[in-house]
Amino acid sequence: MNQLDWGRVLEAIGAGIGYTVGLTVIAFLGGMILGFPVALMRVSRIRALRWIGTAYVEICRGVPVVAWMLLIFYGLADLIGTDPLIAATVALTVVATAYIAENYRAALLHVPLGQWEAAVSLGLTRRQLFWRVIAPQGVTIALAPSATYAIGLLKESAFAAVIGVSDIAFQARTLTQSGQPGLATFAVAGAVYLLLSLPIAAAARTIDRRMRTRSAM
Amino acid sequence: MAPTEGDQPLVRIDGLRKSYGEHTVLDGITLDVNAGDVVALIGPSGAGKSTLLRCVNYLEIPDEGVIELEGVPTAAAPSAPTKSELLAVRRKTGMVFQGFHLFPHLSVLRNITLAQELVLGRSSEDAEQRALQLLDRVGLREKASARPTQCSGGQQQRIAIARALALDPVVMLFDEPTSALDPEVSVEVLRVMRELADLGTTMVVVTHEMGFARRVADRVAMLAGGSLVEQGDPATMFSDPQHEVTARFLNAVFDR
Ligand SMILES: Nc1ncnc2c1ncn2[C@@H]1O[C@H](COP(=O)(O)OP(=O)(O)O)[C@@H](O)[C@H]1O
Ligand SMILES: [Mg+2]
Repeated sequence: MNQLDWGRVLEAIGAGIGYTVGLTVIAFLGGMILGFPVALMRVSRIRALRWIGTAYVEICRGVPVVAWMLLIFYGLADLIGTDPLIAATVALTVVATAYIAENYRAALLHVPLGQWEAAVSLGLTRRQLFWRVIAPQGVTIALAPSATYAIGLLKESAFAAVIGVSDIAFQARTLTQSGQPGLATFAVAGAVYLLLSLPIAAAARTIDRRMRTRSAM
Repeated sequence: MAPTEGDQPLVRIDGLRKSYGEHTVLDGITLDVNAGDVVALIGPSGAGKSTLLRCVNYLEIPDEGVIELEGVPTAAAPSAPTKSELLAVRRKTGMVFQGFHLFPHLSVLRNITLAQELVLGRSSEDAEQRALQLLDRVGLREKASARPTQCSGGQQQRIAIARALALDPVVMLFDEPTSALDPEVSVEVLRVMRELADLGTTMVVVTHEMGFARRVADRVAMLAGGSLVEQGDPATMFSDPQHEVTARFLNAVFDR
């Protein structure tokens, strides 16, 4: 009862890694793609678009991820059936989109004024100025904070266990329910989350360092 | 004498006014620049030199006054230029900033070809050929495929000059192009500017480099408190300034 069955624990948690990583990767990539148009709305000159963008960001960030998971799981059950994996992926992507949109927005505003002035002085139109000069720099500036955010996303993905996605957290809970010692089992699960986060952290640091040397005058 | 095409100033600024709220920065500036001339704009910090230069290409929108290029007003209503007027005037003017402002995400070559393609509609081959020719002129052909951040400040400024020249502007505007550079690096930028002047490029240069103003400028214009205090050829103005503010300013600059 108090003895940890290493083989069983590792096998079960190993089976959960795929879900945790898959969920995190899809939500992150989804957020990187969908976050950009949301950021565009946030910085739009059209008030209605700005308003929609702001509302989206505030609502998605203001409600806990676990609440989104439950809301989408039960709320969309009639529409998409009760598939916990789809519900968890959608919920995590919705939230990631909001956070990453804010990274893009901050990054776009962070592009130095001189870049605008130089592009305007060369006769670029507003559209050219934005897409050729500001957006590419904004996206690059947003990479480092977004990579850091991916670590948070990895951990938030654990809420998927609540609606029954068999990720690492879910596996750990199931193990304890079938007699594995709680402390040791969750310690192993925690260690696996930590191990998974290390390469993301390393990537974030590398991107950050590259950016610093590149933007240095 | 009836004015002919030839003796009309290339740039004509008349009665230019600009305020920020209560603060009048340009208080009715009148200044002509003839084709091929180099005009050095000097004056103390806060005099309105940058604002004047930036009004010429509408980076700042003037409140009142006339700005003509090649005898044609650049905007029907200078305080409310239309989009197409703005694009037209920016195509005709080249601007060089104190801080270079090269595009860091593009190669040096691409920095110089981008606007040629987008603004002038040149083919990428033509744009590239022109860019390489200009890089040759500023002595930086070997930097074509480098990123701007791999270049020194002096090199970046020479690239910025090439970028502006690539659109074949009728007048080049320089806002303290060497103020962010060490003196030994400034020299290479000033040499490029001098060569441009020798080639007959019309230039308005805001500068604290009095040596450059003396040797290269055809005319020096002194700005203080939003007004053009006096203008004249550099030798006369430096040795015999007509106004007290000019004398004080020149003393301060030359004493350094
Ligand atoms: N965008 C702005 N808003 C408010 N005041 C400004 C702005 N730009 C310049 N000024 C003011 O206008 C005056 C002239 O500025 P500037 O043209 O930059 O002078 P100079 O280039 O001769 O040093 C300064 O007092 C400056 O503070
Ligand atoms: Mg200035």
